[in-house]
Amino acid sequence: MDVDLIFKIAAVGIIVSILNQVLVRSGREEQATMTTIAALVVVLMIVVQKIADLFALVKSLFQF
Amino acid sequence: MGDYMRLLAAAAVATVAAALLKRCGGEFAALLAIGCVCLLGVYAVRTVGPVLALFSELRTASGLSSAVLAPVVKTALIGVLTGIASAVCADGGQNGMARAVELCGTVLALSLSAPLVTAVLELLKKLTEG
Repeated sequence: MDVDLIFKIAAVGIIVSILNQVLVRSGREEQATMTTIAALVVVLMIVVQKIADLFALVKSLFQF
Repeated sequence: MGDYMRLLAAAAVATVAAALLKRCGGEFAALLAIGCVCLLGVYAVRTVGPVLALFSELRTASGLSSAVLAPVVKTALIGVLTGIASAVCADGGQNGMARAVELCGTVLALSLSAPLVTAVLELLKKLTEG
């Protein structure tokens, strides 16, 4: 079981939140937004692979 | 069993992390929830394989056709999947999408069970005629 995925997403989320706060406080709202979007895309790509795995497995179940 | 305990622990950690991430914007919390759902779903689907094989053996032993049992299993699967997908959408704050997912699941379950209802009606018709 690839439980590391959860820790990976949580870690990225926490790091991006901290970065976001630092950038917003220093008056760089645009960079904060771009950082958040970039991290979202990265995490989304990881999650999409897992969703594809799940869908393939569910598809195999429907062959019953 | 070990995998299951590990997944339970990971789900608990994910719940705490999602609560933390929700305060700093809900995007990562939603992605974390979806990732956790995928992990647990993959585990459940891999585990349910032997149960379906048992169903298949029982079907063969009882002489039932696949057309009778398959809609039942598929409808049950659709119900479970619809419930999970709807709950994920509701967690993300999209209640309308959750309702739409439920509607799609209901319609799909109805369309899957329609051939069974038709078969029962035909049987009843034969019984009343003969």
